Amino acid sequence: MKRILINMVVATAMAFGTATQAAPKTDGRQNGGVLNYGEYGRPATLDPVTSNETISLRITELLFNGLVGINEKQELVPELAERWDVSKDGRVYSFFLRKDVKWHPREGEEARPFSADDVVFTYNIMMHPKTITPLKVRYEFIDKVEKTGDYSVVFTLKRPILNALAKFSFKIIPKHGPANPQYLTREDPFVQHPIGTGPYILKTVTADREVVLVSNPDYFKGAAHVDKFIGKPFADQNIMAQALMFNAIDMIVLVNPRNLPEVQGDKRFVLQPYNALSYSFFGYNLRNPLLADRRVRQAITYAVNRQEMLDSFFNGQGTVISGPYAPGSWAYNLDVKPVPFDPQRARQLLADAGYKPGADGIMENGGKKLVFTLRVPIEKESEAVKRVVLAFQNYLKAAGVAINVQFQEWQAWKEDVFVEHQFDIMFASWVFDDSTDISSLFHSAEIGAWRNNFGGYSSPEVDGLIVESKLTLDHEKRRTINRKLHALLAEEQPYTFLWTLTNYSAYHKKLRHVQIHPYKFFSFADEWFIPASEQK
Amino acid sequence: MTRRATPALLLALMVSSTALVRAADDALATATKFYDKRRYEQAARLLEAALPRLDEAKRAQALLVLGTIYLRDADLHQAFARTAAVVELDYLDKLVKTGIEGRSRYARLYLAEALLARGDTADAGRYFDQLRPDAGVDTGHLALAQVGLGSVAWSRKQTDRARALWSVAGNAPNVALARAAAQANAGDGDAKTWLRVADGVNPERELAPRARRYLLEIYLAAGAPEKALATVRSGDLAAASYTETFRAAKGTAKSISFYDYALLSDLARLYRELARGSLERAASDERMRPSAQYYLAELYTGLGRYEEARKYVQAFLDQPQAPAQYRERTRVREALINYRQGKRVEAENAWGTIAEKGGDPEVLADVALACADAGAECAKAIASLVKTAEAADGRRFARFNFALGTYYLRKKDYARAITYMETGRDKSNKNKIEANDPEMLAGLAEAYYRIRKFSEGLEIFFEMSKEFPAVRQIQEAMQGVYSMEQRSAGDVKIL
Amino acid sequence: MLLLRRSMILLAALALPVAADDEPAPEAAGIEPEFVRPLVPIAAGRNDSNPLWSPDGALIAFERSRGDDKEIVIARANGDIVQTIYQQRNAAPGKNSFFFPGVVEKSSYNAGISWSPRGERFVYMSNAGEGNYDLYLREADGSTVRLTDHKEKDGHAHWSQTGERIVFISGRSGKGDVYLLDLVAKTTTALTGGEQPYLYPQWSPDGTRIAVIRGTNENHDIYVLEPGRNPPVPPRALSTWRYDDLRPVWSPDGKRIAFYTNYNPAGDPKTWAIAVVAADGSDPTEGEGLAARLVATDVIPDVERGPAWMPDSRRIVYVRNEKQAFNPIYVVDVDQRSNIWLRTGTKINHDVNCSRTGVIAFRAQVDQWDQIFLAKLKETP
Repeated sequence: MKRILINMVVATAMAFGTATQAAPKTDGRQNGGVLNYGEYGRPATLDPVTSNETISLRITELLFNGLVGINEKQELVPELAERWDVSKDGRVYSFFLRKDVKWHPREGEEARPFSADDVVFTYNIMMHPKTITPLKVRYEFIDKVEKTGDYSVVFTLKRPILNALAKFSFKIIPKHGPANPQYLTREDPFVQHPIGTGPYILKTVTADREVVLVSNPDYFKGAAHVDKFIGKPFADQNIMAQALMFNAIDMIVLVNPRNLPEVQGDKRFVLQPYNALSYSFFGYNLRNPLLADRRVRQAITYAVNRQEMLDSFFNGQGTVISGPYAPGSWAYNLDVKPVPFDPQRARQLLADAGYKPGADGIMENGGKKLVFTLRVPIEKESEAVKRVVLAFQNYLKAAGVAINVQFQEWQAWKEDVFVEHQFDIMFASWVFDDSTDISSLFHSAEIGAWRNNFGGYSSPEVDGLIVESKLTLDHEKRRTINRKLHALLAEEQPYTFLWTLTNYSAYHKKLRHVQIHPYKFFSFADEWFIPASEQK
Repeated sequence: MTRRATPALLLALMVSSTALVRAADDALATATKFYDKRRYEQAARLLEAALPRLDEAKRAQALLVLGTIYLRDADLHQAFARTAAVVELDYLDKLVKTGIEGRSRYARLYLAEALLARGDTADAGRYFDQLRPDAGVDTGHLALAQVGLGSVAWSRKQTDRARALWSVAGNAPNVALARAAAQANAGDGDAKTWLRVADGVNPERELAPRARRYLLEIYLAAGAPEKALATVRSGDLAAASYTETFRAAKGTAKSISFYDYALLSDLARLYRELARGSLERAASDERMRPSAQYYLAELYTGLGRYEEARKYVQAFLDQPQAPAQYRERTRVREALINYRQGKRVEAENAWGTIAEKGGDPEVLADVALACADAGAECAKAIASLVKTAEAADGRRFARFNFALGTYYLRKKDYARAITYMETGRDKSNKNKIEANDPEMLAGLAEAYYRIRKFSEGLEIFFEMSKEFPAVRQIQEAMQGVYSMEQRSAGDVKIL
Repeated sequence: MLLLRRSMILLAALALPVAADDEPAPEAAGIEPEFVRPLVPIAAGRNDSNPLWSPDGALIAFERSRGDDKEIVIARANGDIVQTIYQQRNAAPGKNSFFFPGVVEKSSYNAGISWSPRGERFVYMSNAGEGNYDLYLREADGSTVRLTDHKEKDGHAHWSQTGERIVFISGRSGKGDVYLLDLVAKTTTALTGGEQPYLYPQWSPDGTRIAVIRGTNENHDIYVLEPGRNPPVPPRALSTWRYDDLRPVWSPDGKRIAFYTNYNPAGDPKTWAIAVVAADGSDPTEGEGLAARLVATDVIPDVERGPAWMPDSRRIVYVRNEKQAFNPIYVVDVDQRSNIWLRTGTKINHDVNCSRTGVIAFRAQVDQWDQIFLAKLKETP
C-alpha cells in the first residue's frame, strides 16, 4: 500500500508542475507546415470506443485525451485530470479535472467546456451492453464511477490492481458527442465525425478518403506545431512506398518489410524502429484430445524450422522466441532457449505418445490420425502469412502430421476461433502495449466466448502464478514469477511460439523531433515540427 | 582511443600477401571471415590453434590479425562495461532503495563492488561500510566486503589500513582468492604470492563465476594473460555471481541474480593485454611492422601509455608507404594523445582542421570518436562533422554516423545520439552484429535505455547475447529497471 | 562500378514439387502445360524473384537475394547463367597496394531493369551506395554510364523498343513526373506537369505512346501520353473512376492495355482485378462500361510489373487469389473471358512474365525458398 501512496505523491507533485494554459507552445520550435502520412488501408471509425484496428487507433490518439497519459520517458503524466488521489486500500481513485479544457467546436458552434459529466458518460457508454467495443473487458475491474463535482470524479475498483493508474489513459468522449446517449454503435454519426479534446481537430474526410486534421488552437498543452495532418489511405504497399519517395507523402506509419531496403537507400528519409511488444504463434485447441497430449504439441514445434521461415519469408528481420513474451519485454526468461529444429526428436516424441506412421505416411494411434485443421485469418496483404502456412504444412507433412488449411475472413475466423472454438490449430499474432500481461491468454478463467484463452488451456500451476503475479507489489517477485511462467509455458507449448518482427516508420528528414509511441504511434505528435524553411 | 579500423584494412593485409603459404591461408581466411562478422571469439580461437603450424612469415601475419581481433574485442567489452555502468548501477541502486519487505540484502554488496570497479571509491566505501554483521548477509560475503573496504583504503593511499582490512577478512578459500585479486589489482606484493593462491585453486572443480573473475584479475596482474584467457573460457560468462533467494510463506519464492560488474572491464583489459602481446610479436616481423605499429599506437593510447603510443605514431608516420587515410587517422590519434597530455587547444585545433577538410568518412569518424573519448567539446570539429552528416549518407558513412552518435551519447544528448546512430544502423538487420558494429549497438542500447525505451535496448542485447554471453548482466539489470518503471494499461490485441 | 561475376555453383537439383493436395475445384480442372521446370537448379538459402525476359526471349534477368545481398542474375532460357551483376562502389582513393583493400562492398540498392530493344544493354535504377537514386546504363561491353544525377529520386525507367529513348519518373519537379531521356541527343525532357503525380510509365510497342498511372493514395488512373505529337496533346485518360488502377501493360500488338484495378462490387480496396481496355481510349473510362472490361477477378497483383500478356495479344497469364490453392496461375482469354487454371504444380506463384516465344517465367515457393520456374502452354489449334 505504501508504494501506491508514494506514487500518488509523486504524480500529484508533477501535476501541479505541468499544468499550463492553452496557448502556443513555448519550446522555441517552429509552427506551420503539413504532414501527409500514408496508411495501408482506411480507418473504419474515428472514435476511440468503437474503433478496433490500428489505423483508427492512431487517429484517435490525435483527436482525444485520457485522464492520464504517458510521456516520452514512460512516466504517467496528467492529461485531462490535473491531479488525483488514491485511497490507502488502493480501491478508490479520485480525479480532479482540468478546468481549462474545451471540446473541439462543431461547425458553427461555440466550443463547449469539458467536465466530469463527460468522464462519467464515457465510462457508462463504454460499458453499456449494446456498445460494441474491445475496451469493455479491459475495464471490468472498475466497480463504479461517480461525479463528485463539476470537475471531480471518483472511480471505485472491485479490487486493487498493479498499475491501475495507467488504465485511466482511456480516451474521454463528449457527452454531447454521440447522437444516442445510451450506447455507441458504428451507425452513430459520431464515429465518423468525432470531436475530442486532443491536439488535432477532425476537419473533414475528403472524397478521396483523406482524413484531414488541423491543429487545435486551444489545445490545453499548447497548440501542436504542425498545422495539418493528412492521413492518406493506400490500397497497394509498393505504391505507398513510391509515393513517399516521389514526395506525395512525408511519412509511412508502418513500412512493408519488402520496401525497407529501397527506403533505407535514400538519404532523404529517416527509418525509425518502434517496438510494439508482439509475437506470432500457432495456437492449439486443447479441447482436441490429440492436441491435449503435450508430446504432440512439442513434436510439432520440433518439426518446424522457425529460423529458416524467418530468414526466407521475413529476410531474417526478427527474432525467434522461446515463450510467451517478446524479447524486448522485461518478463522474458533468458535461460529458456528456443527449441531447435529437430525432426528426429519430433518423431521420437510422437512415437513416445504411441503414434506410428500409417500407410499414407500420416501418424496414427489406435485409429486416430494426426490430421488437423489450421484456421488462418487472411486480411490485407497476406503473402507472408500464406508462405508461413505452406511451410508449416510442408514441415509437418515430413513429420507425419497432415494439416488442412482453412483461410478465412477476419470476422469468420474470429467467430470460429474465439466463440465456437471450432479449430485445431490457429495462426495469429498478439500485440501488447508496453505491458507483458499474459493473464488473459493462459488463465483458465479466461476460457469462454470472446475471451483470449481460445485454446482452453488450463493449468492450476499457471493460474496460480498469474494470480500471484497480479497481486504482488514486489517487482522482483513479479519478475521471478514471470520467468517461471515463461519456463512452464515453453515446456507446455500451448502455442508454438514463433517470432517477434520489427516495425519501422519512414519519414522525410524535414520532420523533426519525432518521438513515436510504440503502440499508439502519434502520442507525442503535438511536439513534432517542420522548420519554416522546409515547409511547402 | 580512435580505433576500429574497418575490416577492410585487415583484409587488405591479407590480400597484399597472397603469395604466402596456401594451407595456412584457410585458417587466416576463415578467421578473417569470422572477424568480419564480429565473431571475435571464434576468429581468435581459430588463429590461436593455427599459430604453431605456421611458418615464420605467415605467423607474423596471423599474429597481426589476431592482435587486431583482440583489440576489437577489448573495445567492445569496454563499451559493454560503459553501458553496464549506467544500467547496473541504476538497477542495484533501485534495489538498495526499495523499501518494501523482502528487500535484497546482497544488492548493497554488489553495488559497492560495482562502484569500486568503476573507480567511485567514496560511494563504494560507504556501501561496503553499511554491510555490518546485522545486514543479513552471510559471513562469506561479509568478508568480501572487508576485502572491498581494503581496496577502497588502498585507493586512498591508506596502505596499512588496506592491508589490515585484507588480512582481517579471514582465510576461507574464496576470501583468500578475493584478497589475492585485490592485492594483485593494487599491485601490493609480488606476483608469486598472488599466483600461489591462484594456482592453489583445484583445477578439477568447476569454478564459481566470482572465483573465475578473481583468477582472471590475478593472472592479468601477474602478466599471464594466456592463463587468464583459459580461465575465462572455462566457464559460462552469462552465469550469475550469486542468486539471492527469499523465503516465501506461500507461493513463489523470489530470487534475484547478481553479477560481477567488474567482469566486463576485466575482459576488456584481458583482450587488450592479449592484443599487445600479439601485435608486439607481429611487429618483430619487418613486413608486418608498419601495420602493427599503427595498431600498437591505438592500443597504447587505449592503455593510457601515451609516450609509447606516441613512439608508434611517429614510427608509423615515418613510413613513406603508409596510405593517406591511415596517416590522417594516425594524426587524429596523435591529437588525442596531445589532448590527454594537456595540450588541449592544440588537439582541438588539429581535429578541427581535419574535420573541416572533410573527405574520408573513416577519418572523420575517428575525429568524432576521439572527441568523445577525450570528453572534449570539439566545437569547431563537431560543427564541421554535423554539416558533413547532413550532406552525406549511405552505408559508407555508417561508422561516421555511429561516431557522431557516440559523441552525443557522451554529451548526454540522447535524442541526437539516437538520430545519428539510427542513421548508421543497417535497418534490414537492425540487431545483427554481422551488419552493425556491436560496439555501436551497445551505445545505441544505452541511449535507448536513457530515454526509457527499454524494449529497444533489450532487443539489441537479446541478439548480442548469442555471441557475447557476458552481456547477460546488462540484460538482467535492464529487465529489472524496466519492470520497476513500466507503466501500462495492460492491453493486448490479436493481430 | 559494376562487377560481372561468372556463374556460380548451384546445389544439385531437387525434385519438382508434386501437384498440390488441395487443388482448385474440379470444375476448373485446368490445363496441363507442355512443360514446367525450374530455370536453374532448385536450391535452399536464397530467394529468386522478378524474372524479366529480354525482348527476343534469349535471355532472362531475375533478382536473387541471399541474406542482405541482392543481385541481378542474367541467364539463358536453358538455365545457363551468363552473368551476375551487383554494384560496388569504387575503393576510396589514396590507398596504395600496401594497404589496398580490394574489398567488395555490396551495399547499394539496384532494381527496375529495362532491356534495350536488342537486349544487349539495359537501364536500371541504383543508389550506388550513396543514398540517392539515379539511372544507370549498362553497356554491352560491361561498362556502366550514369544517366541521371539529381538529388530527387529517378526511377521506373522503361526503354522504348524502337530506339534510344528511355522514359522514367523523377521527383525533381517536387512530385513524380514523366521524363524522356534521349540517349542519342543526350537530352532530358519533361513530358508531364500539373498537380497530379505520375508513376510507372510504359512505352507502347511502336514507341509512339506511353501508358502511365496518375493520381494519389488509393485512386490512380491510367493515362496515355503521346510525346511526339505536334502540337502537343494533353494526357488521355483510359480510366477516371475512383478506384485504384495500377501498372498498365500494352498488349504486344499495341492495341490494348491491361492493368490492375481494385474495382469490385463489394468495394473492398484490397481485392484486385485485371481490366483490359482499348489503347486508343475508345472504351468507357468509368462506371459499368469500364467495369464490363474486367477480364479476371480475385487477382494477386505483381508488385513490380503489370499483367503478363502472351505474345498472341489475346491471353494474359496471372496469379489468382485462391487461398486454399496457394496462389495458382491462370490464363485468361480476354476476348472469350475464359479463365483457365494452368496446372503448374507450384505454390505461392508470383511475378509472371511471358517471353516473345510464349514461355512463361514466374517465381514459386519450393519448401521455404523462392525459385524461378518456366512453363509453356501446349499449342492449341
